[in-house]
Amino acid sequence: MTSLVTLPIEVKELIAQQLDKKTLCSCVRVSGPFHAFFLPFLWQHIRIGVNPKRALPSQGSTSIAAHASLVTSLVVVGPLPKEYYSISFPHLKTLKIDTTYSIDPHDLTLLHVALVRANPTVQDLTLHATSSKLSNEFWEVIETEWIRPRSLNIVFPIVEPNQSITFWRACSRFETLTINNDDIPFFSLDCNNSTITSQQQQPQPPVDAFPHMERLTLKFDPTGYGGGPDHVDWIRRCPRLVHLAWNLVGRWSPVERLIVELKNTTWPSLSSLRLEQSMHTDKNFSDLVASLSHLRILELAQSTFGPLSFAALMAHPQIQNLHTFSVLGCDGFTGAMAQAVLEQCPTLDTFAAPFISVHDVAHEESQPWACVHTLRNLAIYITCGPRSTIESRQKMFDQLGLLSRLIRLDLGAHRLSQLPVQTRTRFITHESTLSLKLSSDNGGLTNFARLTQLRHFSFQQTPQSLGMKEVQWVLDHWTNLGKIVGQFTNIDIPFSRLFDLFQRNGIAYNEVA
Amino acid sequence: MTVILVSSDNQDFKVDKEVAERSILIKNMLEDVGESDSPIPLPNVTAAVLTKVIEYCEHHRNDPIQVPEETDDPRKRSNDIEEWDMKFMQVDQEMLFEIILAANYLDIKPLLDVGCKTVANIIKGKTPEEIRKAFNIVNDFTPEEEAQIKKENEWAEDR
Repeated sequence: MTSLVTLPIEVKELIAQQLDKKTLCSCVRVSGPFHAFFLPFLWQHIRIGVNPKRALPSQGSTSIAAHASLVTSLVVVGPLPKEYYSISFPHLKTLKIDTTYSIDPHDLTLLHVALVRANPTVQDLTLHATSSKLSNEFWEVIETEWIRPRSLNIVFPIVEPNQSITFWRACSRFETLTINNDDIPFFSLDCNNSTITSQQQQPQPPVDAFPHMERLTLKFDPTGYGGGPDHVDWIRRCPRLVHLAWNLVGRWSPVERLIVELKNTTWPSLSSLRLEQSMHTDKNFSDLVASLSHLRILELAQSTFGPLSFAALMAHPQIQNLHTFSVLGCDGFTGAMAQAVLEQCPTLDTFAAPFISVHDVAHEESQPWACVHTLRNLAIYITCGPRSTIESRQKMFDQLGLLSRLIRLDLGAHRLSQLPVQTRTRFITHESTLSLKLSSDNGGLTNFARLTQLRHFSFQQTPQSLGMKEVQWVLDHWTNLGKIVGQFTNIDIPFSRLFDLFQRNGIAYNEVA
Repeated sequence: MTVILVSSDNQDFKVDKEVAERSILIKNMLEDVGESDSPIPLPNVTAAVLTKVIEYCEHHRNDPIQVPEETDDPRKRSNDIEEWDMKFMQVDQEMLFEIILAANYLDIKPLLDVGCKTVANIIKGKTPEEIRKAFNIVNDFTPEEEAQIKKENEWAEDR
């Protein structure tokens, strides 16, 4: 007779993964076999934190230490009593240190060193607001004692000037580095010199100072520094770089320097580039695109991408490999360009552009979209223009209707707020919007019946007049939908009831994102 | 086109190929065997269970094949079981487990998922004694042992 206990392990795991901690606590008390099976699920992810609502239970550290070998993921929200920092978790893979509380009863710097020393198996480390509670020793332990570090994610901490050298040496062990909202100053990586001096006086660190670095993300504070030539100097020393993301909020743009490096094949594996808010010239961007040896992921939101860049993109030998392309907020990106990308990129998975017009899809020379079987994410505003006919609008609907693998469809107009007012007013009118109303000439939403994988749909700030009929259609046809954003203006039930209706069907609803 | 599935107790089931191919195991078998008409033996599934499995596959014959997503976050997926599936799963416990085992063996992921969710929903929120009653499990702990386990693990609750 089959019972819960005799199910195959992989099946029991599927069941256990759905259970909350309270239930798991009950499960481990049921019987010996239950205890043996469910205990790891109870202990695999734990959070030791200062909870203002309840004190840490006494014997907490003993209890944790007794189960330490089951823990693979740990979040430490300090400051905590001393004993918690020296528990060793022999199979720990993920560690997050979060010190947002300002009360500091102990010498946290030493405690953090003890924590990383006790857990050399950690692969993924996140540091959140640890401010001045780190030290040279902390970074030295990571550099010399950690077995196989993989990713480092830093949010808000300040790496103090006297820690920069040890910090950068520790970074050299990681494959993925993400720096959020911080300005980490740059200093020589020369270990012989522990004082800060300007770069001209230091010997240059080796070209492969970061031999493992493959993914690098720099996110700067919008009001802050934004990055400078120093940053490119050390990014140069990541010969295995595959992915580079940089939100360039400052006045200095690295595009020219990046072009130089790309032409020198500094990063032969680079295939994913994300530069936001980079205000350089269209010509410079076209040179940048032309210098990329691999083209897979290109995200240049809010940049001056224009006709020259577009020409360089379309002429790129690897245009057929384009997987992700985003030019949101780029005023120079036209509907005709959007159509060209959709026509010519057969493996496109994600595409985000300001707008496309019905005319771009319906005119005589336009080709069918090549990416209908691969496109999973599409964010674009569709405008009809003054001369659209039923037939041309139907062509647009026909194309969209073929995107059966689409998971996210965002037709919202809210991103067009960056356009000049006259353009915006011309674009976004009732007449110019592709109507999703079921009773409209083209059938509206009915054209999307094949988009059954859709999980996220937005028509935010587009002038539609959708009502209960459309709500019912959505509920009937998009059974995987988890989120919908937009205003149903033709409805007479209050927002709260509409919200509840969607929620009962497992869909999160809001009028704006 | 139809195929013939044979249960462990030698009962034949004639099923549309499209329905049978909801089982990846059967789909692969059919690809290997090619155009042959021979019945497919399923030695691990009894007729009673196979009837239920076929019923599920018939109802869901037009569902899109779930593609595993690399960035799929299980927490974001809807946790609700749709109404038909809920009624379908209102069977005695033994049948529930047999369906799960069959779905696992036949590699019908959506059915396996629904089965596991159903079991998880039975367990959720119950005390140890309620779990034992629900699944007819013998308590092999002494009261002292159970109290000790409770104490050792209460720390991990909602952490």
